[in-house]
Amino acid sequence: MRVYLHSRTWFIYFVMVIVILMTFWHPVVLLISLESGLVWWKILKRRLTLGHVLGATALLGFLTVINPIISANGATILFYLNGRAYTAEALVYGFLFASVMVCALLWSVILSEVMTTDRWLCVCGRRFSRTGLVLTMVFRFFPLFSKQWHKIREGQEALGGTPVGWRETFSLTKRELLCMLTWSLEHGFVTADAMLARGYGSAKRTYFNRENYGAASVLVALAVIGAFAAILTAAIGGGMESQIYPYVRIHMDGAKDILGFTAYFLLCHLPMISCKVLREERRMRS
Amino acid sequence: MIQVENLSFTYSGAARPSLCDISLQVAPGEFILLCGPTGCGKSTLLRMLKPELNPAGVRTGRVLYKDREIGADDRLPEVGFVMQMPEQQVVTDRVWHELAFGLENLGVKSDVIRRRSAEIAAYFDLEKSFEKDTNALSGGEKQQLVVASTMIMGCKVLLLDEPTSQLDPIAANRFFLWLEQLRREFGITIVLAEHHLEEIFGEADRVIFMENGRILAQGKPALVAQTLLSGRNAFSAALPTVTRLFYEARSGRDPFVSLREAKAAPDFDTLAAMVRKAETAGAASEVSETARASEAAVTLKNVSFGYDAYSPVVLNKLSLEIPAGACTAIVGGNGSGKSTLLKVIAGLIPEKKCSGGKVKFPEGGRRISFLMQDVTTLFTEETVYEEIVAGVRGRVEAGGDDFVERFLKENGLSVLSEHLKQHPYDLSGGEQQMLGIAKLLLRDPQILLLDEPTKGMDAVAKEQFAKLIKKKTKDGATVVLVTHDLDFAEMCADYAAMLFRGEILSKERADRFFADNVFYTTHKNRALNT
Repeated sequence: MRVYLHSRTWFIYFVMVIVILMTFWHPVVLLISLESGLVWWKILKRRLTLGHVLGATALLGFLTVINPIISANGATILFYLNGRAYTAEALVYGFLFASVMVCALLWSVILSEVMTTDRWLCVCGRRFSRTGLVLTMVFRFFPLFSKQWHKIREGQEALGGTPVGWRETFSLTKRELLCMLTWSLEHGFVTADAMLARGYGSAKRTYFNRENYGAASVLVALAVIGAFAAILTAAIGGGMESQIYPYVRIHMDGAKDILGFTAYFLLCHLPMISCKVLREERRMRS
Repeated sequence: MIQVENLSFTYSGAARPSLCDISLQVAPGEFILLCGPTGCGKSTLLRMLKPELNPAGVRTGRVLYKDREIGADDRLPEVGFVMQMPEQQVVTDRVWHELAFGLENLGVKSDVIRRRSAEIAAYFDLEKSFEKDTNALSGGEKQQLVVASTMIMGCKVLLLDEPTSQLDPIAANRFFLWLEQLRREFGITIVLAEHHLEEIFGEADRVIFMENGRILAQGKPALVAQTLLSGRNAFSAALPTVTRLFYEARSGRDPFVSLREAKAAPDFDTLAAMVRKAETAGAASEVSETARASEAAVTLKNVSFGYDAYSPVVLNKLSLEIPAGACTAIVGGNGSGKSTLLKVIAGLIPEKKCSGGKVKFPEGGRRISFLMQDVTTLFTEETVYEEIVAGVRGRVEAGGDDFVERFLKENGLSVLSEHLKQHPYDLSGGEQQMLGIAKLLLRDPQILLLDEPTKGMDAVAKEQFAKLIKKKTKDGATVVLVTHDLDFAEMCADYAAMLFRGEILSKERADRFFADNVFYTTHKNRALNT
């Protein structure tokens, strides 16, 4: 089934997932975020490498161990380090914080994959048509810049004689930077001329909006907002609560918890119905 | 359509005028080819016809568009302008947005843009790449996209400033064919400034030849060719091969301007026989002495390479011996692995990544300099002089005060001596290549690797450059030349090898190689093979 979703629907979706992930430091919320994040990862055909897993583990380990050194909150003292208490609660806090970070990183990759430049443009385009243009030019320029730098590196290496010692390496890098600067300026002049040649600045710019709201976009947007409202209701009513300091405690509140977590689960997974369209888009871009 | 009356122009700060008293008329639907040596003022003249791009300076005379005088404050979306650099002219990151860009600037509404871009994509066969990232397009595709996104604005006149100078000859020909189609189907008026005249010269309705800011000759292509050839103008080297080749045989009258015209001539066979005889008498197709005497400068054995596990193999069990003290040209289509092969020889791709393949050099013969495709990537200094000296300062200082000038003169690069104080980016494309070569030669390499060195060079520069390569191989250097430019390869190569899908299919003496090939050969051979 091909379900097309409007850029604004995507925008609302990501804002809500990320807001909830960052505000509720609840293990169940984290688990749902991680699970749905990994499903997205698979849908977007990104490879999960050993490097990713090791990186995430290292981040988790580092932040977990380091937090009790910074923060002495918590009632369960494990031992004293240089006269400061090293507590179990602070360990848990560190672990949760690191988990939120890992999930946020995972989701930021998904965000950047789905929210391509044209989606951002569509979200902010009509009102900020010039800003939008600058944005798309920046998006074009970055890959160009890094490609050019790579070429300059290779060109210098190819000339024969790789730099010896830090002094030469430093001087070469400095010159490469200058070279990039000249190149960028030179590039900019031509682009400016090309823009003028195609009528830039001759009238008030419009923005070419290619997207239409379909029934699916509206329904999914409403469902996402509905789920968000349900989570808020559950939270205000005392559900989905957890506490770390001074003791670690997860409040269990049957009905409200079930409502909140189910709503978050649905919220995270619902837009996946559009996975086919996303994959097609990705294929067509390259 | 366009009228230019007594136009003169001097750039602000310049001592000499760039345009002197130019008068010219362009009729609707006409195809005008503007040619002349580098710096003759053709780009300036084109810019004067597009008010948005009028350069700053002092001008006298008038430019009229549809009988109305135009100045720097006018806006003429009907007149499209396409420049050299495909990369830099693309403004946005997606193909559809690039097409829409011009219309957005004119304040056109979304639904109109939608229809117009669909229409133009269908006509220009951009449907498949409509959603693509512009970075994923090749140079030729980018240039076509720029023209398409100019055409979408309803343009009636297309001004093109050396649009193919950064493209390989195959992409360039495709671009010209496509331009021709545009003209035939829409009656677009085209003014094209170009120095690659091989394919396009005979197609123009009128050719205008400029030198030092003045129009020296204009008229039908044959007439201009006649003027240039009979006046022994240096620029006549840029004329199509067939024009130059048959000029003497036709006793200096009515030069052919295209291969089609030549082959249609009733006495073509007799003429071709005459030219062939003259050519074989004059040709000294001897492989240089050192090449025959010595062994290989580089030996590649079973080299295979792919950029990563997911992309196709670029080099496929390639074995090749590069003879020392000779120039070996490696030719082949786009993506056949030519540049990758050079990177393997240069060591930029290490041997251990070549799936067990071996790259061998004779004892102490590993001093390699490699001129990569985009020569501007070599330039890190403020002036041409500093650029030449960079990295070899010790050698230059030891050589005395006028070392650089002597060095340039000895190597036939004296054209650079006039520009020593300029910024490398201010040189013309051909001069930039020369500067790259100078940098390479100062490192005194045993092996010179050149990747498409003639990009952006005009015919005169190419001839000089071919001479330089010949001289270097005579002195014992080994040159490996990767190029699409077969005419250039024939001028300077001793051996030629064809790379096809990552394999070397044939390697033999260059003259035999080009004489035996039917399709993939020089313009001269195409003209003389009956």
